[in-house]
Amino acid sequence: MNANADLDGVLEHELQRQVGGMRGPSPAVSQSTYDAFASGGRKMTWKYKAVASLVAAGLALAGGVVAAAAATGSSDPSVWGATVTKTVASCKDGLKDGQHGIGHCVSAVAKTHGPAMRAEHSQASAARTDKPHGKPSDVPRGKSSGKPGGGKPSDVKPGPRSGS
Amino acid sequence: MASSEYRPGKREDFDRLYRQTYDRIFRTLISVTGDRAAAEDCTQDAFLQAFKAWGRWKQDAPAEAWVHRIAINTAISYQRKQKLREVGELIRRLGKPVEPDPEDQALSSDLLRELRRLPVKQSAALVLRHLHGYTNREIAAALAVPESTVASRLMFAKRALRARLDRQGGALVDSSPSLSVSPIE
Repeated sequence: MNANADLDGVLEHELQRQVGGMRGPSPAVSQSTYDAFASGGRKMTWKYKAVASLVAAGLALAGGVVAAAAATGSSDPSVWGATVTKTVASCKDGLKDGQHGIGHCVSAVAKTHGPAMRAEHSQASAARTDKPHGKPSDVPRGKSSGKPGGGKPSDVKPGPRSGS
Repeated sequence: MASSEYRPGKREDFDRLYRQTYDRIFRTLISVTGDRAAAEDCTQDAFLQAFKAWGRWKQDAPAEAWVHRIAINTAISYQRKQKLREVGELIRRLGKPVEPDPEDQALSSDLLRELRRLPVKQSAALVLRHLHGYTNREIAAALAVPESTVASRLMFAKRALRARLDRQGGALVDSSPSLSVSPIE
């Protein structure tokens, strides 16, 4: 009888001490197997949702970069900012008294400015490629290569910009 | 928790049951399996089985006890599979020295380690009693067995535990001689 009482006490103490505070990963319904089953297995678990969000954010960012590069004709982010600031300022100046909204103006400038810049850059690029140069693997990397076509793309100064 | 708080077949009631009982079911399962990953899997599996049967829940036992019944059956299935796997492993390792299971060694209490070696129906009765404070009647409802069966399971479980700990020179329990009755399960 005494032994039973001792064992009961020890069992209770040990179970409470070692297991009493334990918790599973999460009791959120949305992460449960039965909820996924109820959704017909089509529901994404939180892990997949997180990955999907990251991929979507990355794509949106890449899309923004592509759009900005296309509109300014430059791969340099500092050029994008300067172009946008200049465009907004000129559009504001063009507003008549009592007139609001520069969206159309900015959009129109971006549409004409982008292709013009790209055309200009492709001409400059063609001029540079007139000079012969070896395969990229033949040329040591870095600014000090001293050979045409060597060095990083950023080492090549952009050509003059029209209308700015 | 009164059974009337939950309505069979109602999704929102099942969600509430899940949130309110998840941790207790998980603790029961980790006590009897001794393996956190297995306990997590068994808990999710038990709630899945319960969800499928939720419309047929007859309220003959409190909802938590009913989920416990399903959870313990899930643990029994898990242990059967484990034993089959262990037999396969044993055959594969025939003739080689047996290495101690590191997870087993990591258990800090002889008592809990021995508890996990009992048949699940016995260890579950002990856990429901000593971890969750269930009465014999509640354990009977949870396991769908008569109260007399619960009483005998508890008795045999404690006897087996004491005998095993005595053999190991366990200091936590009284070393009075065990009765000469062999376990039923």
